[in-house]
Amino acid sequence: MEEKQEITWGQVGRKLFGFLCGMKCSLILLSVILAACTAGSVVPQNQPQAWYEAQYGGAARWIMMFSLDDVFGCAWFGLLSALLALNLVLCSIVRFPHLWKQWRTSFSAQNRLQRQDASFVMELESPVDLQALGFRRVETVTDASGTAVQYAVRSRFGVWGSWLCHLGMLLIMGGFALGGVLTTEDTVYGIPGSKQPIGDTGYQLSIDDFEVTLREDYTVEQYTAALTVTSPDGAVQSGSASVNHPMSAFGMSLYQDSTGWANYVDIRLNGELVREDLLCAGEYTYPEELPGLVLLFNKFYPDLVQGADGSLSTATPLCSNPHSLYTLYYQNQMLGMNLAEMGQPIQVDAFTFTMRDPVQYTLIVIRTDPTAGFVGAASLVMLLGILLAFYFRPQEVWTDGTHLWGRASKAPELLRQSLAGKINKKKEG
Amino acid sequence: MQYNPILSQVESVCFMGALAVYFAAAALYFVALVVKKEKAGRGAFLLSAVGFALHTVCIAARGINAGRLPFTNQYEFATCFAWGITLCFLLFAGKFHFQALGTFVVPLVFLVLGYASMQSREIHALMPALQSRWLGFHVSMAIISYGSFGVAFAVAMVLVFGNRLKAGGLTDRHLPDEDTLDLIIYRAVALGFLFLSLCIVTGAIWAQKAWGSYWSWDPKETWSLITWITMWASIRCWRDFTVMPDTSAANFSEKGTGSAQMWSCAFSAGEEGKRLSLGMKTIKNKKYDAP
Repeated sequence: MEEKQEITWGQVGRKLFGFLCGMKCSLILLSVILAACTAGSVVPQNQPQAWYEAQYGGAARWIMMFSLDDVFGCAWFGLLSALLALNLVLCSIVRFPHLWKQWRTSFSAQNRLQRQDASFVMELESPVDLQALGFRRVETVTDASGTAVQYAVRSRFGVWGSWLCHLGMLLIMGGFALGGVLTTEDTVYGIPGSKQPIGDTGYQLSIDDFEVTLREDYTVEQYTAALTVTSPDGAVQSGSASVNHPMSAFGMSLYQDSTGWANYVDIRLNGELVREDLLCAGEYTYPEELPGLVLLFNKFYPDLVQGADGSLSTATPLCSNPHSLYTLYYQNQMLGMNLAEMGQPIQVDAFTFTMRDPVQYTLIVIRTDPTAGFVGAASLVMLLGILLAFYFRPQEVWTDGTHLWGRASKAPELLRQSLAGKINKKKEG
Repeated sequence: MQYNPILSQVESVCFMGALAVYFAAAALYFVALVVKKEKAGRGAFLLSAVGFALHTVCIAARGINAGRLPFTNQYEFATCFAWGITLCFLLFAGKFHFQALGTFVVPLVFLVLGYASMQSREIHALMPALQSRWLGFHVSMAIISYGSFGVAFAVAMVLVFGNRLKAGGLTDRHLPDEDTLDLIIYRAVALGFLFLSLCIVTGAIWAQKAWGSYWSWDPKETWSLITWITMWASIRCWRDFTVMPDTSAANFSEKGTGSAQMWSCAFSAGEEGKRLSLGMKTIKNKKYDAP
């Protein structure tokens, strides 16, 4: 009874192993991954639950249940990717001995004469030189009837194409997964002259200068930030970061990511300055004396233009008619929303808010990704595999002087036509 | 910015000229199909080549005038995409002596160029994120890739409607057999797949340079991955039944090849899938005796 059970489990194991190695498994996994990717690109990702409820109503429950709000970061997508990686590993291991044997022993004159598996045969009017047909190493053997047969093969290494492609994909997936763990990312934003810590790394980032280069038509040509990084032991590295040209310092890459406007807000109580803040769009301030009174800085218009319908826009990026849009709250109740010129007082009882000195801030992203180079190298392996698989497939020819046989795993007809063309050309020549 | 009005004029004239010539070629191909006149088919192919020459001048004039590669807006990309399809069509038609391929490709080119004509042709200077040498590599790869897939689609259409076309003398002489058509699709998809891979890799390098992250699952990246996986799966089905003829994977792929081929080349009908699959079996079993 026990023996019977062992056999059954063994069979199940073999079947499961066979399934995991097979293409059926990879196609099923790929189909599910494709469906997941489609869902992940159709449903906006990483929004709060309330947002999905507002957008999708009752369907939001299903979105949250199946983690469709974070498809690419959820556990089941990770599991699918891991299963695909396992499939690729097993498939590569299983195929390796077959390919090794094929590469080492399959491409030989003896093998071809024994197997008699030519893709095509051509009758020859006169003997041909295989080297003149584009085949380099020509081997001569004698067949069973004692006739000398010339044999040659080219692009033998092509048998590894598909395998290398799998290996490259596997390395990319591994590198990407490792990168998810090892990559660090911090953001720092500030105005020229500010100095801030980079996360909890112990390094400090100073924004020495920030310049927006404009063209004649006021379109942006480049954003450039002059930066200095100071290490915990006081070592300093300086440089500049602009879009597409990151700066490197202490093994970190610093990217010029985005920019926006900030302005200072002074708060006075009965004419006396009680607070001074630098606010970026979306930030707020309040007097310590009355914390329930809040000014939210909504948006900055450097060159305000008001349309006939009341719409607000900016004519140029130059600070020639600067206005700030703000909202006032008291005890979470909105008191009002309005525009203010620079220096224009906003009076709320004994408190006066004044906005002044607009300045552009810059947002710098600081990243370290030790696996990026590895993934780049893995991509090259994959590309090499694709190239070999499609354009360097092994081709074999052999001739006894009266016939020419050819063999190619894909497109033998193209090989036949190419050989026929060369033979005809030689004949005409 | 000031742009050269003469070059703008050259671009405009060549664009409209190419559009008109492609239309004439498509019409002539249609005539060739209906009245089955060989001369009409040859004329259509010649017109396609003339259209391609005008098209090339148009893109060159645009690039010189803008001082950069013309890859950055809908008009420019659609124009280059149509150019890529025509280039691949001429290459494949030349290599496989298959001028009748234009019957399905040239109308496609005309439609894409027609779409480009509806877009704004204003020249804009590059925004900072696009000021990278990787832009040229990345978009060039995409153009060749999409062009190849466009040709594969057109040949798949020939296979789908092949029976009806074969009724006449012209197509009897000019349409290759099903095995060759299958081979052309395979070649076109393989070329497209190689360049799509290069397109994704160069895009990832560019993203790493610009934003510090080579892959961030944004919709554009995700859809290029979806396309890549789709093509990879279909090519794998296609290839492996000849690479591993004795495995269960081979049996599965043989059954799945028809649908996978339709999947990759899009828009084919179910019945035709079986026929495509049969066509490939013919290649596989075509063996000759050795001495």
